[in-house]
Amino acid sequence: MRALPSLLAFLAALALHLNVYGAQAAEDASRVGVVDKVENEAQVISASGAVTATVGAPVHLKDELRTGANARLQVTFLDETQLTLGEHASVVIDRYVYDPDRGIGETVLQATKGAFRFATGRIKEMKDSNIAVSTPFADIAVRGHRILGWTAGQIWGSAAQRESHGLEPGRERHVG
Amino acid sequence: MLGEPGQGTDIPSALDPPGAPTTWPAGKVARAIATVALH
Repeated sequence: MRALPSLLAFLAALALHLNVYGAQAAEDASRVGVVDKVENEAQVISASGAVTATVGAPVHLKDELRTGANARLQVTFLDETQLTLGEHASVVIDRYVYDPDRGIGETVLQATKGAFRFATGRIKEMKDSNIAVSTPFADIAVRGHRILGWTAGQIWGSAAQRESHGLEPGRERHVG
Repeated sequence: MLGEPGQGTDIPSALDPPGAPTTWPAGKVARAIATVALH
């Protein structure tokens, strides 16, 4: 009988540990990337609130990335895709799937304002991949190994390497 | 479709289709890259 309190204490500690571990595992499962670089004021906004972006901070699905004046924010996704925001920018991570075992990859972003640079990572190598960025003016479909940028109604390709990217005919979405 | 490095296209408004891709002058590319360049 004297062992019963000790056993109960052990079980309580075990349950607490499993609960904490389970919460951490769930948190990790929804993580799609990490803040890589920050200059000046930038935030990661989730359903639970806004936090100041710091290097190493996790980024999750449905998070909004937002920058202030003279700010830059770079996020590296699980597949090594890099997204860089210029100042006064806002991008929501609408969908993100990276499953190399099944050959599936998808990135869908909503850029509502500001400039951004998007450099595709390993998702482009998936047999079933979809990369798209919606902007206030148009939807941008990204194919293959590409770097693209969006600045105030202009889409540009990096001069650093040969690329092929742009607007997919019939997918332009005109927003009134 | 942007098929070459240094190309860009302008979209005048949400109601307009994208313009034909053109090769931008180096200065314009540099200005665009500067908007997202980390210092």
